[in-house]
Amino acid sequence: MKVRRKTVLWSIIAVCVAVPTAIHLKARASDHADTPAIAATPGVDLTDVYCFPSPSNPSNVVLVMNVHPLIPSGQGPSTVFDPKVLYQIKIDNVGDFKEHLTLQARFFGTGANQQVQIAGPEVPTRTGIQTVWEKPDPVIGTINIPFTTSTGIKVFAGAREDPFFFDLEQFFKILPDRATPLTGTVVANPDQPQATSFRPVGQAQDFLKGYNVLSIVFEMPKSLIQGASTSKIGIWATTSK
Amino acid sequence: MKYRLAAIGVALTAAVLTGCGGSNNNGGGSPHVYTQIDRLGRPAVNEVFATVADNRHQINDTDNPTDDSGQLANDIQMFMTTTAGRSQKITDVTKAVLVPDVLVADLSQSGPATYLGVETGGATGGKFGGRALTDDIIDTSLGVIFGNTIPALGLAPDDGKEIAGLTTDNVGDGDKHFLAAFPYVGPPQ
Repeated sequence: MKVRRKTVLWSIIAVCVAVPTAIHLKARASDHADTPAIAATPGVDLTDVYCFPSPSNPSNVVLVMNVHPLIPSGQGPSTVFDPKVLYQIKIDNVGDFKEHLTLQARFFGTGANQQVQIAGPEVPTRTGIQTVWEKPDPVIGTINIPFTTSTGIKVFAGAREDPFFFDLEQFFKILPDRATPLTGTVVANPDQPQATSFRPVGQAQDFLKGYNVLSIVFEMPKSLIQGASTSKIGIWATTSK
Repeated sequence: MKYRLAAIGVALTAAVLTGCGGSNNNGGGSPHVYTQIDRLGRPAVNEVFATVADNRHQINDTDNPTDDSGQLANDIQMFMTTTAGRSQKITDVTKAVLVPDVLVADLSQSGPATYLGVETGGATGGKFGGRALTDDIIDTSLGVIFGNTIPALGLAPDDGKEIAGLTTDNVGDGDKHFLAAFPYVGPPQ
C-alpha cells in the first residue's frame, strides 16, 4: 500500500509537470488531416474494435479498442490519450444487449510518461450512456509499455499502426456525404456520387497506410468475461467525458 | 530538497483531486458521471449506413445498443432500399444480422476469429466470430450490401440488384505489420 501511494504521488507530479510540454506538442501537431471537431478532441474518436482468441494461449481472449485516427507517420510516440475521457469496452454476456461487465481505462497526465489505470471487468454500478469510473485495479501502468494488472490481465495502451485497411478516398467519392467528418466542411452535393465503383487492383490505395492510432489492448482469461448461461458475448466500445 | 518535494507533492495532490488530473472517485463526494460521446461495435456499420446529414451518425454514437432497433435499423432500411437499391427481404436479413450493433463472439469456440462468424453460423470462415486484425471487414460488408452474399447463403432470394464494382475495394492488409505476439497490433509507423 505504501509503495502504491508513492507511485500514485509520483504519477501526479508527472501529470502536472508535463502539462506545458503537452500543450506545445498539441500545437505542433495541428496539421493533422482531421476535422476541426475531431481535431479538438480526437481522443474520443473510436476507430475500431477487435476480439480474437489469443494466438499464444487458447484459454485467453484479446480485446482491442482503437481511438485517435490519422496520427501522422512519426507522431505516434508523442500522441497521448485524453485524460478527461473514460475509455470502456462494454460486455453483454447474457444476451440482452445490455452491458453486464465493463472494462475501463483512464489516463493520468498528458506527457510521454502518461499513466494508465484499468478497472474491471466488473459489474458496472451505472449502465447506459452515463457511467462512472468503477473500482480500479491497483497497478498503474505507463503508456507504450505493456503491463499486467493484479488480476492477470495483460494491457498495452499506446501508439500503434492503424490496423484498418480501406480505400477510404474512393469510398468518399462514391458516398460524398460520409466525407464531411473528415474534411470538416459540408460536402457541396452529398448525394451526388463522384464515382460509381471502387478502383481496380493497382490503383486502389489503403488510405490508412502510414497512419497510426492509439490502441488499448487487453489479453485475459476467457473465464473473466464469459457468462454463466451462454458462451456468447456481445461487445462494444465507448468513450465518455 | 526532500521537504520541498514533499510539499509540492501535497499541493499537486490537492490540485489533481480538484481538477488537474480530471475527476476522481476517491476524492470524496459523488463520483464524476461520464456522458457517452462515441460508441462502436461492428466496423463500418454506423459509418456506412447512417448519414452525416440529419445527425444520424451522432445520434447512433450517443445511444445504446438497445436503441438500435428504433434508430440504426431505420438507417439500414433507408440505405439498403434506396442508395443500394436492394430488395426488402435482403434488407430484412441485413437488419437482423447487424442490429443491435455489438461485436459477437462465441468464447466456447476455438479457431480463428472471423467477422460475422457467429451471426452466419460460421459461413464467414469460423464460429468464434469476433473480429481478427486480418479480417477484410470492408469486403465482407460490401458483399452483404452490394453483392450476392445473402442470397448465396440462402437467407433471401436473389434480387438481381448486385453492383459488381462495389463488392470489393481491392485493398488488402498487405501494408500492415501485425505481430504474432502481444500486443498484436503493429508498431507505430
